[in-house]
Amino acid sequence: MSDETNGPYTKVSLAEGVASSQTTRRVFLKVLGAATAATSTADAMGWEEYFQQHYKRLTDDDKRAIFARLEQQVRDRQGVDVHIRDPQPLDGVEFAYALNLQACVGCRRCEYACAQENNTSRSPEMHYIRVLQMEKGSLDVERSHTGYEGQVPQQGHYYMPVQCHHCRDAPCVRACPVNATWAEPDGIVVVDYNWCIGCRYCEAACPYFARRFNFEEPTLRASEINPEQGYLSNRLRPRGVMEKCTFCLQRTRQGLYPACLEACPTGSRKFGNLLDPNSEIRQVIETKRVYILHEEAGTNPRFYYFFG
Amino acid sequence: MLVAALGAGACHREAPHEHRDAPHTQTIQVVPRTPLIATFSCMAQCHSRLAPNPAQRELRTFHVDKRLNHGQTLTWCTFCHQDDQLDSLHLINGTLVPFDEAYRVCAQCHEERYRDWTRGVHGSTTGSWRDVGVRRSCPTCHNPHDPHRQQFESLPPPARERALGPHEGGHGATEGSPERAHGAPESTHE
Repeated sequence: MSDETNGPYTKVSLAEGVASSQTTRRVFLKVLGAATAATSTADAMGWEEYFQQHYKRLTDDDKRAIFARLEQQVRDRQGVDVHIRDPQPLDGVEFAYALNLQACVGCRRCEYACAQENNTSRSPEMHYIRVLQMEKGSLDVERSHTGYEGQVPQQGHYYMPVQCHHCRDAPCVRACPVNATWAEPDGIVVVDYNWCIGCRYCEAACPYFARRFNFEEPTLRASEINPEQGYLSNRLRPRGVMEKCTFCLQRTRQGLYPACLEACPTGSRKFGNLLDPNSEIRQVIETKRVYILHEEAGTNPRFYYFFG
Repeated sequence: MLVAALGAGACHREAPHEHRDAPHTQTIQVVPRTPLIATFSCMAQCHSRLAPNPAQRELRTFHVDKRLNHGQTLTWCTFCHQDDQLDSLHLINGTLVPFDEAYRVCAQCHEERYRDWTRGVHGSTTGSWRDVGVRRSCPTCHNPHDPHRQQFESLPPPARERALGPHEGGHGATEGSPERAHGAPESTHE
């Protein structure tokens, strides 16, 4: 049977069929859709949240309403008063990070300070930073381990903490099919948790394994919640979205250092404004031997390792 | 006309990054160390009455916890401490240095480290990267009597990495790793 003979006939019959039941089916589907959205997601999410726009299309009024709603949600669910803000990138500031591989002892204080600051899930346990125990004399991360315990530094090892490198050519940003992640003007790569569809393409694209996925509802005790929250950073995340290090933008955009740096007992961590020639970070890059992890990946990161 | 059209088009694109220098606004405060001796002044407590004995010897009664193990030349208290003014340090040329500026004493030998420290490359600076940075003097981290590197007790690895054991869970063991393929539950994952 060819399309010339069969096609028009089918079309007509279909059109007649639709015409006869069109109204009822459409209405039925509409009602069903609305009812499903209202019943299945209203408790967990709510109508406004479900249809919330992309972060970049939100007006200041939208943001105020969203922050108030999110604060109310935390008050209802966890009984904690939190303050959600949205600090904007600062003019003339591009953030960068450097880590002294000779000074780091691998004590993991940074990991836990990060979890505390950024409200990451305690069960299942999620850390943005992984400290790799490396073999002395080698930069081969494939031979590194993260499960070491006890006294550090251990004989024959040095330590390389890895977190989001905030790349200038970030593969995660390119991989995202819905533009839910992007680099801000100050270089911080952020995620719109409400726009993320949870496909995890970005996680697969990242050569640093720096992105984390919420397989389960993140759990935190009320006492563990850091109430000073940034909308694009450490506010409480739902299940099914990606998250990652944001250079603690809720702190750093207000002039503070990231939590991991504050926690470091060895002073291995250096952070600052790359555009200021006298900043610590520029001094590191100009006076020390600098190593870029996975330079061959062409990601051009804003995270540097240095020696000395 | 063409330039105007191109210009109008360019407005909608993101402006290329400008590499102009930003002003340096951070000032540095070094954490003072005199408050530590304020509660126990060497002079007020003992040495105003008891002149220090300059002879090198094994200490048996006092300062027995101060095992001196710092280089080959630094063998006696008075190398850094001023014997008639024990609440101060001194440089090799005799200049008195308060404890708050102990780094000047260290800098006499460790000039490269000192230079790095003044630039903020060595040592920890906390507080604010923009306004007031708080920096620590050398003896905060390095015991000047026995400056050898210390061991730290590491905090435990997160659950998933602990489960993999001390010799697993490296950079290679990522999301697509064999552990995962062989049926590790997703819930144990980060």
